[in-house]
Amino acid sequence: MLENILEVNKITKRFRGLVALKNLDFSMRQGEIHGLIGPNGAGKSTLINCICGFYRYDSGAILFKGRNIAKGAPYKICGMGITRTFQIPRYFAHETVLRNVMAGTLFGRSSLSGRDAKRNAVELLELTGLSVKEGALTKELTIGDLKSLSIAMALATKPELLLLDEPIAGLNPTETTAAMELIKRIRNEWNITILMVEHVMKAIMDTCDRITVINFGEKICEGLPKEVGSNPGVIKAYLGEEYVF
Amino acid sequence: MGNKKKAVIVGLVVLLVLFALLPYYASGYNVSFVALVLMLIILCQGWNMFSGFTGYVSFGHHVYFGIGCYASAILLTRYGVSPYLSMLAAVALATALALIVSLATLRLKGVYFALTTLAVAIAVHVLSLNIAITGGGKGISLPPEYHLLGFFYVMLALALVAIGSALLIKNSRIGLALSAIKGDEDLAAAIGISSYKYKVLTLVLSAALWAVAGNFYAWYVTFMHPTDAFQLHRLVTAMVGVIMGGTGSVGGVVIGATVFGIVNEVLWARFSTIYLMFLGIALVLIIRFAPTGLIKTGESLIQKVRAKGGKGVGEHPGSK
Repeated sequence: MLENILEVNKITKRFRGLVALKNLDFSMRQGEIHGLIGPNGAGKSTLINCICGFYRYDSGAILFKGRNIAKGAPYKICGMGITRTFQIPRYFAHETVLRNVMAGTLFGRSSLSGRDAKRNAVELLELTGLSVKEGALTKELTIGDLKSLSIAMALATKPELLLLDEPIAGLNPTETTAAMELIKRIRNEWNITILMVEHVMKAIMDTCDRITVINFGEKICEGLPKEVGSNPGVIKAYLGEEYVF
Repeated sequence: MGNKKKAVIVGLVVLLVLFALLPYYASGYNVSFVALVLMLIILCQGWNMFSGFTGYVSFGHHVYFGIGCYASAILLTRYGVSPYLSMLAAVALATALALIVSLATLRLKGVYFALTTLAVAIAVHVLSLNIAITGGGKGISLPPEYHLLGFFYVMLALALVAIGSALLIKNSRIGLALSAIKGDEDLAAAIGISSYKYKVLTLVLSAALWAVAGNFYAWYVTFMHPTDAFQLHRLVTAMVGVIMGGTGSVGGVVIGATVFGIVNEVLWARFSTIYLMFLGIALVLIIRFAPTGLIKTGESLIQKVRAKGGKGVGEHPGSK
């Protein structure tokens, strides 16, 4: 049996009166692609922010490979092997595409030096299809390219656990297929465990091994894509009552 | 390309020799003027190293200069310590204060950070007016000796150190970390960059440069008073030099500081009562028409002119 790489135990996160996460239990197995879905405001991004140290949660514990990572600053969490992307792609606008990725290879968990950092960054640009834009400034990129860049930058840090916040949303059909292939490759070839928050159902259903559904900060169901897709509670809460698969 | 590089290096060496020999062919006034321009270059590089590289605008750097001034003024008058030694005390004091300031302020952003650094500077200024060791409002008279040559060569050396260390930082991995922090601090943290560490590092370095400059300045002007030591105008002058040259650019800042130093002096000599007004107008024009600094604006103008000539030089390297 594969061990759990990440365990979120009874996390509660409040924003003043609003309870964004309510006693949430959540776990990820080593090597899986795990989908996290739920309506807008369900707490998906909040969960990512809690795991990565961007938010301090009010109670509960988060274990990464059995170790409590509660007090970690974001850069330390990255150093431990957890890297996230952002829902709206973020990048260093006044730097070239190559140097954006090099920031990851130089400072992430790998902390490569000089030449190695550059070589690794060039490889990652090849992998994500950005080689031709290596010298371009990031502000010249399309949304699809920016999403690829986000993934390249995250991979540059050499994560064991990769948290992707909406890697597909906003992509055209060709880009969607390519992104799904890329996500599968990242898991298959490097054995990186992936959490994928996404609203594009087809992408989630085709890519993920398991799916967790949350609503109002609570888990409403967890299971194989098929099970989740046919769960009446999920259909009601998330997809709408009239939604037919 | 190799020839071009060689030409640049030869040019720089010639320039350096001309500078080093300046006291042998220039008047005392000119040597003193150049020394003060060199000091402005040091202050500009120092401020740029922190604020220009990280995007955290410090409104309190004059406090480090003042601390440096008093390090040499006090140690020299009380204990006869030479400024070449007291500069170590200046660096130590500036480092200590920079560390305290960074604990208190570096988690603040934008205008909150700027105001807090200004508050610290004002507090130290007021403190210096009210304690015995600084002589309070009476100031401290240093031994009335003329140290023009010493001051000039120290400023020349320190300017080289400032430019060299700024270039080293900018072209190293720390430079990329600082650029990342300036660009998007959350993203920088998400990919493993400890923004606090690099901000503190550059703050301490830049504070030390200001303190050493102040240390020798007090020795040179032979009288130190809180109003001179902690003069906000000195910081604003440095900021203008940086903005003129192009925030974040090492070479640009050298040129910005030099141009500004010269313009400042010429205007002051001709219109000593209202020269600040002209400077104000110049600054407004620069911010309006050349917000990226004189160098970058000049470069893009040249590119535009060439592109019109049909050579296609303006094409971005990434577009191929």
